Amino acid sequence: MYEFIRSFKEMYTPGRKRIPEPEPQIITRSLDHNIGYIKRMFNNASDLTIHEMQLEGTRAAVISIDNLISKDTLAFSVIKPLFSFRFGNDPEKNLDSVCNKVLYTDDITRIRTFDDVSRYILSGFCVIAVEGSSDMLSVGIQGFKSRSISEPESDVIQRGSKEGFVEALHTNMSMLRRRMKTPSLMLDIITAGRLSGTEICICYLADRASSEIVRELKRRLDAADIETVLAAGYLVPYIEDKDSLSPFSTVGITERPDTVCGKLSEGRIAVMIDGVPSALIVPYLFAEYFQTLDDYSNRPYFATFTRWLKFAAFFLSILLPGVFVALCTFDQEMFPSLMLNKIAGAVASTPLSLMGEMIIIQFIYEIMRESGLRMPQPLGYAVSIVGGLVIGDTAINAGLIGAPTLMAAAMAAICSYVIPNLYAPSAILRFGFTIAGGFFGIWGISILFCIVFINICSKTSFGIPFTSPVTPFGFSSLRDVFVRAGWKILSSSPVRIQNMPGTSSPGGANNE
Amino acid sequence: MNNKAFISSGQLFILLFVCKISELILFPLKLNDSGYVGILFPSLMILSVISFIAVVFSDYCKRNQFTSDIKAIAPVMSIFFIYSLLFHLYIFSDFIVEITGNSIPALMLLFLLFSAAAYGAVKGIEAIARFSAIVFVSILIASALYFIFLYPSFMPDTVSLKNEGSLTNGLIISVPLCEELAFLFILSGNTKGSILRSGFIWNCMQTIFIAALIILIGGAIGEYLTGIPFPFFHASDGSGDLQRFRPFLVSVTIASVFCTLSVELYLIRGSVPVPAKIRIKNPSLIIFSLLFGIYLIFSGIPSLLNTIYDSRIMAAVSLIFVFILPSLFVLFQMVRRKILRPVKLAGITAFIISASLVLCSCNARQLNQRIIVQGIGIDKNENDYRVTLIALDTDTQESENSVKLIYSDGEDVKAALTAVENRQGRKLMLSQCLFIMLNSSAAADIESAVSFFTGNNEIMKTTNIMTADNTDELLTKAITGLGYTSENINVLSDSNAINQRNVHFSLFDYISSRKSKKKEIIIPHVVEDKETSCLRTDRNTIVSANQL
Repeated sequence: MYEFIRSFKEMYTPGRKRIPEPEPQIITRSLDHNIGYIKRMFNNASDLTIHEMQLEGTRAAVISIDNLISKDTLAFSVIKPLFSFRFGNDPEKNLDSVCNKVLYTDDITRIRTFDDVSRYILSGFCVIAVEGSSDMLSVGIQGFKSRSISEPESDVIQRGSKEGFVEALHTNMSMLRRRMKTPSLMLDIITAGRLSGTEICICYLADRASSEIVRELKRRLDAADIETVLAAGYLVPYIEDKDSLSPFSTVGITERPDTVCGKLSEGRIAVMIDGVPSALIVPYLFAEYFQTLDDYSNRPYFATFTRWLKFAAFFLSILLPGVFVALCTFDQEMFPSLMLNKIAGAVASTPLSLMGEMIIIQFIYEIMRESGLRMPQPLGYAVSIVGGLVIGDTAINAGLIGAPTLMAAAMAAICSYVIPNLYAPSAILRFGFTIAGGFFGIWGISILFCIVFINICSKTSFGIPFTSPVTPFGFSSLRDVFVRAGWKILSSSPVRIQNMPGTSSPGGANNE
Repeated sequence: MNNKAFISSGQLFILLFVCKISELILFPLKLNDSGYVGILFPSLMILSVISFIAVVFSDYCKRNQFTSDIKAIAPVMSIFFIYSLLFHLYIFSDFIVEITGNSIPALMLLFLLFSAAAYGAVKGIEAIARFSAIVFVSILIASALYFIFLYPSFMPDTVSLKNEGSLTNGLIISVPLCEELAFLFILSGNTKGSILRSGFIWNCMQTIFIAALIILIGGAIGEYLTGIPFPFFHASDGSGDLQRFRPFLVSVTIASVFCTLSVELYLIRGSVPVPAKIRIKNPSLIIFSLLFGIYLIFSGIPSLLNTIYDSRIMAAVSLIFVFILPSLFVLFQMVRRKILRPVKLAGITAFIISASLVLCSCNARQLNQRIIVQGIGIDKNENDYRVTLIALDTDTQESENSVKLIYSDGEDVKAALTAVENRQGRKLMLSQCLFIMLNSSAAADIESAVSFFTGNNEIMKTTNIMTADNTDELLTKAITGLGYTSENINVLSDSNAINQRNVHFSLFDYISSRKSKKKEIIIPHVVEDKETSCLRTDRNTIVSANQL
């Protein structure tokens, strides 16, 4: 009965119906049949180009998608050599000869099914079909336009390379190769997305990354049942260990090839996606949110100082508004007399409760941020100016919002930008702590803090505790957490992710 | 490196058992106040003891030697952990009531904490153990602050555990709770991903920790048996400096209680083989929750909680325990069995929390609903007291430091202050009070004049006490005439003696002198020098027109 209801529901639920996997169609010896099949497969797409030729009595065709290939390469490296070749009577031998002697490119693959034909054509290859042959040849002549390498917008550093990832996967792979000139750098390509068939590159150092973690990552990516992969975030839930409700992610993301190389050298694995100018990094620990590439360029004492600044900024960003509301509402005696006088004056002159004020300010701020983010840059500036004037000046002068409240909210907002990757959790938690503080004071904040921290402590990233090496405690690994030791110390015994304390089997905590 | 647990589970059990007995001694149950607590807890203790002895001796009778293993004492352990859970909830509710007064609904906080602990229990023992390490470090920091700011200054004066020392209570309650953290450390030695797997250093730390714990327990028992005070438990609070750390102390206490409750719930839930295999499944928790809720519904049962709270709050919390908490467990079960999607669960949980907030709400005192008192003058006439308050004037926005005078009369100081609250419609805030100035008659009967403040948790015990010939007149001039400010008058009193008569005297000095009954009370006498239009105490300190 239950099965019946479920099948009935699936039948009538739009968008959730699974597309049945078709049987792979084998290429036939008839060129006309093959061309007809490809046309039907692509629904006579306008950009599908089929160049039919008579080559000394043998019919052949070169099939490609117009805007994905380089026309010059097609003309000079494929079509011109084909016309100069003397075809014999045996089609299979002809194809072998074309493959080995004729074409001026090494990216040639023999394919036997129409699935492969479509996959290669859509990846910027051209496919050569010859009458009488049950195989075809795919030739790599990709030539689509892509953005040139530029400085990443979000992962900005002071010292170091200005190169960021671009959308073209192979360009990104070359950027890694240039930085890691070692044969142990593995760049395994798989595809994901039932519709998009997106190429995904799994990068790791064979002699440093844990083979178990690599295997587990591939298993999770293979098991990812997703139609399209258009951004890095599409894959994150499939890669993460179980716990979808947590605000913190156990998958890192970066736009910088040098950061990826640094992570690879520690035994981590990067996942690059075709069409996405960033890479995912696993396993990823909580402490890594507070590390930037600049830490390793600066002197250790300054790097340690900035790292503590980041810790402080994170906790201020989530706790400051809540604690301010809690103290003003329940524990006023905490404030020194002069400060209390000022706060009391401000609170007395505003109509809303302190918690209400704080929530409204944060809400307005988030609206302004969101609108500034999506708008064209000149308009974004205008929004910032108007928002700053409205909130910063008019609201206070009108007596709608108290200056100390605004100060606390603004401080928290600024702090949240110190670690951009933690912005999303800190924005949500800020609201949570404000409500907890407003209703239950420090008690409520403490309880919520316990919940957040037990959540953080319960997470694992491929079997490695998210809070490692702080708890579980590993003294030697701490030299790059609360302090940044000098390079001589760091290089003497490099940190390996799989040696972090508390590491267990990566498949033990995986997503089901 | 040694990955083995420091002590065996049997030894651990005995250690914890001793801890529990010590707790009972440290926190004498209020038999008169609460029949529930008074009857239930001792009976559970006795039951545990009898079961333990029975199991061990039956084993001995069978085999002629003590070979009881962990499986044999598993039933006792399960009773023990249920008992622990109830006991900690009770202690904590008592603690919340003492610290927060009525400003926050203690039962609601308990409910939230219990729910959070249930969430922690769901997350597993490794998560709790990892979190406990963070809490452990926080406790160390809190203890350091305690010793740095409180211990050296106020050590000679003793204040009993359960009456005036709210902060001390918090710390004292935190101390026994550490045993569960020690327990967690030991437990985590047997689990993967634990801090103890790194071996020797942590074994040393836990050895020190357990040794300290045993000393504390020994001290407490010794104090109970001999009556000789054990120093750690007898520091008094009231330090203005320490009050600034209250949020931190509260956080640490909550976190340690959270760890305790989580691990107890986890063990009751029973999926950890160490230290005992207790297979009590989730339905037991639901039944427990139901029983607790039903207990709360019958508000006729004598209970400490019933005497404090309004019946509506009790009813609301009963609803939570009868319906909402069991529902949460059921929902979690449904998610585990994939009947319910996590997103729906999040929606339902959000609804439950918001409904709970609406049901229980809270009576927070907003800052603009309070009278911020900077100084108090008390004039004793023949039969009544006249109280003059210098309060921050938040209504006029001309100056941030503008103050106003509020007068009130009453049979005693408390009655006069209550009259002020009733007339103004605002609660007094005494934490910013800098001085209490008594007239000669009130100073002569200082016991009755100051008794209200010694029992008040809000006022800082460092508040200065002074005398003047006519307080009312002097404070009026301080506001309107000569331009003295509260801060200046406070500084006048705060200046230490140059000759023998002008001494610093605070509320804390008064409490100390009252307890020791040896110290002579010398209160600085403030007079107005009409020739030079200034205030002075015993010819050596002068305030004139805001200048010292």
